[in-house]
Amino acid sequence: MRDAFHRATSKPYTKMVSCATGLLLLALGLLACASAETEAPPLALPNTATSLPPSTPLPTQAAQIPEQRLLILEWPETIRVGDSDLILLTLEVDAEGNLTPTASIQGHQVKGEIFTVPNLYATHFVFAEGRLDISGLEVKPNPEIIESLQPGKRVKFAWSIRAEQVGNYRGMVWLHLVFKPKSGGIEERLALAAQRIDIRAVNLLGMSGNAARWMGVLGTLLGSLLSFDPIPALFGKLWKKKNECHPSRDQED
Amino acid sequence: MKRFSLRVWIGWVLILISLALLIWGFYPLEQKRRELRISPQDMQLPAIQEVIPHARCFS
Repeated sequence: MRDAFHRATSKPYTKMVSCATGLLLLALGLLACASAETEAPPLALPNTATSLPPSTPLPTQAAQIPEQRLLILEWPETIRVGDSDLILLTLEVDAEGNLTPTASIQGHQVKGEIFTVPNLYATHFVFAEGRLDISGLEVKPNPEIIESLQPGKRVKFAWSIRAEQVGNYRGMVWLHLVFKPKSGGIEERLALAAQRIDIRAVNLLGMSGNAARWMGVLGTLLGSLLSFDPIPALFGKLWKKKNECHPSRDQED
Repeated sequence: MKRFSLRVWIGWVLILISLALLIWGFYPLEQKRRELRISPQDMQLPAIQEVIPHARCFS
């Protein structure tokens, strides 16, 4: 009887103890994770602003083009079969481009520090190379066009495209920069942008754009001849009526 | 009179179809435009550390 009582009372007690230890372990685990999370950022991201003394020289910058540019791509979404259209790629000088010198942060104060970025124009001949990759369309003059990139001047590439068949055409417009050292040496290429374009070629009842226009002109002429024929006849009738009303005038004339 | 009106009717139909063809043939098609800003950082030669990650070890 006593044993039975002990068993009955000890079971919930052991359950409670095991639950409490489980909860305690869980809480300890969570605390450990939380402390690890809070401590992680300083370890992962060292504070460069405070670690750099004021006299520390700035890291060497790679030579770059000191201009903000705007790349504009214009293309027709739809073209008529047999007609040609233009794809334009312009590397414009961005007038709103705000070139601020890189600032170094010391503590909480931001100090603007001007340092000269090596100018690529001074050391290299810079070329912009535009390339149009599209299959199924006739491209003129060439899929690849190279233009010299001058400081403060825009570069424009134009391709004339023409579709011979109805369909959807997908292509890519690439822009590369080619740097050729003035002192001689190996030229370097830099892929600046690769943009996808989709062009749909359409026709009207199997007619190309040119055929439709010619048919339209001929049809208008023929239709005018057929339908406006009664106009001279109407004028003739009016003339006759007028003459009937004033027969004396005709006789006088 | 009946033959005459039929001819006029055919003429008008021809004109309407031809005008539709002309409109389709000369209608300016939609042009798409996409702009992308390029900063000077995008137009720079890769630094030696970017090409060879442990370049400092050799110098």
